[in-house]
Amino acid sequence: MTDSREKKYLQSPHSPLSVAIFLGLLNPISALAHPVVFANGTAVMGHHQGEMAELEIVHSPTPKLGLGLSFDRMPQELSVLGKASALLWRGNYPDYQSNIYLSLAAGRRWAAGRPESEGHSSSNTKGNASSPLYQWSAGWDGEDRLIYSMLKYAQNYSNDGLSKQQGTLRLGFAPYKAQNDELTVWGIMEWLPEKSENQMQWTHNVTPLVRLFYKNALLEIGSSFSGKVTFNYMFHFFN
Amino acid sequence: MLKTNKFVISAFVFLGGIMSLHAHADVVKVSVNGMVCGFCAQGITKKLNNTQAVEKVNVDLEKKIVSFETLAGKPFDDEAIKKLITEAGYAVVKIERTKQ
Repeated sequence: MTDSREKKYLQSPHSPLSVAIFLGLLNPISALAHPVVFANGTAVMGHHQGEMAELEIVHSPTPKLGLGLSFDRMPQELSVLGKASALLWRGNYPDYQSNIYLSLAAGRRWAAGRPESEGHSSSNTKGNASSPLYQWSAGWDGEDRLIYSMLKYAQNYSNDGLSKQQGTLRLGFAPYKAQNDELTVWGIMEWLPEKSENQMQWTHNVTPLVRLFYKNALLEIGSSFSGKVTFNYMFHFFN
Repeated sequence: MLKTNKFVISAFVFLGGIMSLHAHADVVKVSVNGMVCGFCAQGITKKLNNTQAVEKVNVDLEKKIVSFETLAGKPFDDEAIKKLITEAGYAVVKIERTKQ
């Protein structure tokens, strides 16, 4: 299939790209990082930055396991991943909590406007440039009621091997200690270094964010130094 | 007259039975480590309410205390409380129980 025909298919209303764009518009995270929620809890998390949108839905059947689906949309690419995450360690201290997570994911990626490695893509015969996608990530977070920090590293693998690496570092400060029935306000600085298969060098995105947190709802709004508007959200539902 | 007395006594017994269902047995205060945000408080509150053995659940993030009242006739011992909060992901430091 030529690049132009491929683009047309992926941009048609019923293509996987269109479906994912729709999902991405409805919802949009990974930078927030709550891969394991509460036992029998469910989280809906979204992350929008510039032309990128991500939606993740996670359910935790046990306190140390999270099972979820994530939909990622990029300008020329979308992916759908099934994800299993484990809470490897939790530290509970009087005023502080810390967690270490490991996530493994597998799914499919659809790329528009650039040919897949034609010899490998199993779906080229259907005119769809899709390929398997695998991801692992490890993350650490720690917070008290005034300071929040998070570190995460993720790698994506496609047919051609390592296709993307992404790191996340977040540091946040709250101006006051809020009780659980009060609105909490945070100021957060986020650094996202990223390197894709077609890039020679890492790109760096630094975004100051304001986080508003009330009961089971969390919203973040910011704009990166390169001008990309960022909007994140997370809702927890407890059974 | 006798009939009226019987009716009044029956009504008291019935009302007493109803009231005893909602009588509180203990006031419980649990010191918990690791509670730092609203998600923690919401989750623990929900877990406790789901047991249907407690009322008036309150989480105080400042004092790091989860407090509630147990219902009479619905035993909720310290082991069960510890198990519930530990499985929710937090660490129980101390449980204080006051009889009503």
